[in-house]
Amino acid sequence: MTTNEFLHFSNYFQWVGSFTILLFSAYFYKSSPREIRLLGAYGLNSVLFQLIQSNYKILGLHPNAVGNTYVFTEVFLLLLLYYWMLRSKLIKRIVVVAFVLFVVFFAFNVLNDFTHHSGPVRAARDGLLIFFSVMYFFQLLKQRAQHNLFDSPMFWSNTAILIYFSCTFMLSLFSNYIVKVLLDDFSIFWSFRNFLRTGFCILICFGIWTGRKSYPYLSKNTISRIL
Amino acid sequence: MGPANVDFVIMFFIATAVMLLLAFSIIFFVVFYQKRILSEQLKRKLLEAEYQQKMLQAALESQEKERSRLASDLHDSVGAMLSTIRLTLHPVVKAGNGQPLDHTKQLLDETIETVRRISRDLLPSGLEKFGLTYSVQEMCDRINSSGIIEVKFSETGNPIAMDKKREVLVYRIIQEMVNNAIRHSKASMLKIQMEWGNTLHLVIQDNGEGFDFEGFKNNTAASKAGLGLYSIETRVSLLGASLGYDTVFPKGSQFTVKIPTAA
Repeated sequence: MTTNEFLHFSNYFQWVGSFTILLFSAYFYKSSPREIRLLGAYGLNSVLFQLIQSNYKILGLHPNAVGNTYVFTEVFLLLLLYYWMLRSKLIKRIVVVAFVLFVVFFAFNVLNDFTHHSGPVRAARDGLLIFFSVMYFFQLLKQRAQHNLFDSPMFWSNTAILIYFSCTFMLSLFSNYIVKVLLDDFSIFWSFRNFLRTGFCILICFGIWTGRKSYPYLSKNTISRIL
Repeated sequence: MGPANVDFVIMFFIATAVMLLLAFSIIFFVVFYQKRILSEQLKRKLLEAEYQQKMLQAALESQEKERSRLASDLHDSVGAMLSTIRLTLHPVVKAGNGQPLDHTKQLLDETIETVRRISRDLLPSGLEKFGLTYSVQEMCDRINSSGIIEVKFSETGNPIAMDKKREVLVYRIIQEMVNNAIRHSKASMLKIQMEWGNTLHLVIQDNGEGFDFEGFKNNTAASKAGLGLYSIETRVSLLGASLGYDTVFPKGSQFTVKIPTAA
């Protein structure tokens, strides 16, 4: 298997991962809280962008343009998730300010040449999400423990976000260098990232599944109503 | 891949590994910290429950002592004084001074009997001397002789001598359930069954109207007080027993209490 085939294979895996998030959140859509629904929207967003990226030639789009747009939507959705999850008004304001700063940074880095792959923008995304996932854990520490953490879907989602974006932070930071200097070896790094992303998706799905008992209006007919 | 690139790859993986390590450290810290808080909360809850149990026990013990004192006072003072009055009245009645005195004597006899009954209800003296079975049998005989309701008592297995405090608690549970059946269920027959084994299996069944036990279980303590269910539940919990309720076909209700014979 060549490195490019391996990359293609890993791409397929991460697509399946995102699709599984979409399926899980759709299954619990009626009964789940808005955070789970947002994760479903995140899964749908990933599936759509991965489909577009796979067919960028047919659609006449530049892959980096698709990637840049995806980064923007990903930051928006995940920061909205933290805006809902974090209870402190101060932290909520910080989330809003962080998003505005990100938009400015994104515009400054990408809008001049939308087909340009921007490592710093991706690193900023990773840094922001790592920061807010740590903030969420800090909030959990401050709260009086009332139930098992492992039963909370948001614990698993947050864990997935922290692990995944911690791993990709260095990759994002040096992605410009990797793309320009390592050339063919770039695909190995990207395959590594894709497999990590699959793990990230599985962890989110596991969270949605373990938290199912806490969804108040769950019924056995939910899936039939959706499909 | 050139040496500079190899160095980059090594540095890249080390940096990523450090980031990953930091992420896992944060996650493990949160998980262990929460687990510690949960276990502390559990310990505190257990301590609170234990404290409440002790308080309840103390309250019931003091109630029993008060009942005992009241029963002694009634029996030894009021009962004795009434008997003395009856004795002093006897020659006057015998002298034949008319019907009003006969009526007074009859009233006095009834009063003496009432005082005795209240005294017996307050302190089942047979419980101390002859044990639980004897006291329950005595209670059933007393109710049967009153004619209010028919009570059938049966016992299977070999009775096990329990701690006296536990026997008093069991006796009070039976007494409260019997009182409930008499007062509220409009039953004509009551069955009390005691099965001795590793646990004392107590079944009290009546053919009355029955009631919404689940509704009572979900209601507040104040609403339970009406049927004495709160005091039954309290005693059941002090005994470490379990309380069950069933409806009986075609009508009636059945309480089941499983009581560990040892504390």
